Amino acid sequence: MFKERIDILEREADNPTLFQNEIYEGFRQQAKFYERVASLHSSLPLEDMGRQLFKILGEVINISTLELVKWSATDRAFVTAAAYSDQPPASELKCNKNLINWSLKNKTVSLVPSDDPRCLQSGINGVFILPLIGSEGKLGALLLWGNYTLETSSWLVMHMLNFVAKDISGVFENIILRRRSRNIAELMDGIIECVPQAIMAVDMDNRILACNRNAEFMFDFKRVFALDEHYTEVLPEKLIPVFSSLIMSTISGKHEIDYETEYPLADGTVLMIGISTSLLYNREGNAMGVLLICRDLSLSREVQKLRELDQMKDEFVHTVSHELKTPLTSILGCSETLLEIRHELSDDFAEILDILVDSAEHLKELIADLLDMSRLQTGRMVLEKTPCDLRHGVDEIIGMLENNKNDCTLVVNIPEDMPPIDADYDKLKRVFQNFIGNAVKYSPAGGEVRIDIETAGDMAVIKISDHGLGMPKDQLPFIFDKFFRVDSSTTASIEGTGLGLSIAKHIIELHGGTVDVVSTLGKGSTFTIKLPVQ
Amino acid sequence: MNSTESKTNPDMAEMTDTERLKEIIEKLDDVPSLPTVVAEVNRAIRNPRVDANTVGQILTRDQALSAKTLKLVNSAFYGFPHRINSVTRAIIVMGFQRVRNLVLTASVLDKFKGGNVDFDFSSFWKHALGSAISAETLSQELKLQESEDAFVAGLLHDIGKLLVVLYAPEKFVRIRAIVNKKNCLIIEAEEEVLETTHSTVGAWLAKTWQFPPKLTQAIRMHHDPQSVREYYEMTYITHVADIICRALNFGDGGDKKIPKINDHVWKALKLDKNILDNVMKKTLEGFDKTKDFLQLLQ
Repeated sequence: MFKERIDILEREADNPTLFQNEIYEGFRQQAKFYERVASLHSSLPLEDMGRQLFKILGEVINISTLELVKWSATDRAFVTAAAYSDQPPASELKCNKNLINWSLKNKTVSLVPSDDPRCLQSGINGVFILPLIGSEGKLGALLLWGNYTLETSSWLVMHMLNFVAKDISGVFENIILRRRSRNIAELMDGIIECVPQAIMAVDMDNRILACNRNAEFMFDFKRVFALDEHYTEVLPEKLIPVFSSLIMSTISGKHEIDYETEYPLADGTVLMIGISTSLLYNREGNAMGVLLICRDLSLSREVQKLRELDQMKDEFVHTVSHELKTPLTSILGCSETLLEIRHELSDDFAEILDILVDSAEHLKELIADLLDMSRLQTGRMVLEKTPCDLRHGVDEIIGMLENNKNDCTLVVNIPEDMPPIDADYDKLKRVFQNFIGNAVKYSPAGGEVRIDIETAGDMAVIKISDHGLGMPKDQLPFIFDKFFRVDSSTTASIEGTGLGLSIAKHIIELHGGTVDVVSTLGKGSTFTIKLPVQ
Repeated sequence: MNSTESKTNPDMAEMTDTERLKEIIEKLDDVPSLPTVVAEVNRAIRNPRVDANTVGQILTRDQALSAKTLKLVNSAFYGFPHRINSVTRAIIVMGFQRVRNLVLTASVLDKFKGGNVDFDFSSFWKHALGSAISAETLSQELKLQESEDAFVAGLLHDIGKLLVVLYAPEKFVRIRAIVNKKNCLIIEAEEEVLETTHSTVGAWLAKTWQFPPKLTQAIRMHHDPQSVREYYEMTYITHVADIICRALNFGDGGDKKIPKINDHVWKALKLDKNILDNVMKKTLEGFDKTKDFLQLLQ
């Protein structure tokens, strides 16, 4: 400001009287103006700054809308950061991006006449572009829309606006930097809070500088009472010796340490915790404290242990089922031989033989289920697809159920022209056996079970409905889980492994199909199976 | 002997220089003059309340000069997105200072575009234009005030040479012969023949033409920047720009030498290799867009 005055004086040195009054008046106006512009500072909200600037500038030029645009490197465009206007609103005005860029490149305040009819309608004939340039390049521009005459753009006004551009550049840059640093600080806070580990920093006097929420949980203290306190006052007593020696050796050894220790909780359980330490440096690069990051190792160990157990169980089931098959085949073979002489046995022995055969058959099914399940889980089940006649499959199952159908009526409805579907016949039979068998099993004596098959597009739709027990709604989502059995007093007497539905669903999915169920407790269930024809 | 003294005592040097200058200038039949509107524009913008319209009207009185100024305003060098059709509009878009400087540039280029002498004017102006661009770029790079003025200082820093070429051609021939023979700096040869240098002659002309004092000073001191006592920045910038331009081999600076940048200037401007690299790069880019400036010479 001072320098400009000197410059003017210097120019006037040759002719001290000619413009004396003008200059004096100019100075007074300038000085007042500069003082007011300089009073704007970066702690003002942008909107307030816009309003005040509008007022100050309004006394010098006939301005009707003030717009502060910010260069966005991402959008490659100038976006409005703040606007203040009598009329019209800044959103209706648009300054050519190239003009603003030109002004920024040449670091010049420019008055660009506008012949946009929308502008002229609102009494605007031009825009002053004030380039805003920060220490690291272009920030944006201050656009002053208004009705200007050529007399408006006096040397003095241009000079004043140049001053405004420089001053506001500084203010605007500060606002942006302040915002950015606040955002970064917030982000860092958020990150530290979200880290699934307990973080704590202590200074060289062993006072707690900072900690996160997980530290509060893990060591059972309240942050408000912990900050600035000696850590020995805050941490659980049993951990203090470990912490002191870790902190001491981190400081003296100037290196990071990884350590594991047991941490007995109040309820008797013992946590395994891992502690990593490192020295904390300030900006000058001097050590100012120690950073401690603690994580609960028990949880991850538990999960790992469970996973190992699960794998062992799968292998065990597979091996056992396989090993059981051999003796079972002998039992079944012997039973069949005995069945041939059943008529020669006394009634008591015949009954014992029947029980033996039934149990062996049941055991065979059970083992088959277990083996199937284990094959499905380990991905060892392979489909052998052939064209399958669904009617034939259903008939075969109904034949198998003949002796065990609980007096139910089985109504089968298959269109004559039902095409064969491409599937693994044996596996598909297991699916039917399961669903139809279940429908019969859970139907009251003499009930009706319907099997409706049709094609819909390139899918075969198989519906199996019964009027049996039905299932409660809250249990429906789990019925395809392995070993799940609908829990009710009426089903307790019906035997089953709880593997059937799970296996069936797996097989259907292997074929690229789906299965859905609709069921009402006490009224019955309908299973809908969809399988691709090809 | 005298030249070393002049470095330590500028006031004394000025006196003796003036005497020597008189000898040359007295021989001049006709001191070159600039169009009257240039002085009028200069005077007009001393009034802080002057508006673009008034200055525009003054300029329009010299139609030829206005047209040349507009040609420069619309040149690729400034690259304004729209065509600017009047000097008044040029003033409101580009500012008073820059248009004033373009008027000055246009009239000086026009005045000294050639003569009946064996001298490559085009090479001379290429060097001048290169220095102008590098002076403006340098002052922008260093975030100094009034980079527009640096442009003019760079452009006119060697104007004294033209005065010698045009008004004392036989002396110039001797100077050139010495430069070629001894492979020395042109100012050394000038000292020998004229007992003064083109810087002093140029400064005298600038003063006669009522150029702003900082411009006069920059022209006078650009070969001896550490002796400058006022307007440091402008002088330092001009000194560096001249050398950058010689390094880039733009046109002809009068001799084939690339002097070292004065240590004092290097420290005062806080120069470093990065800044110079940047300025050189931008000067090269800018120089490609100055076709319109050089066309004024034709």
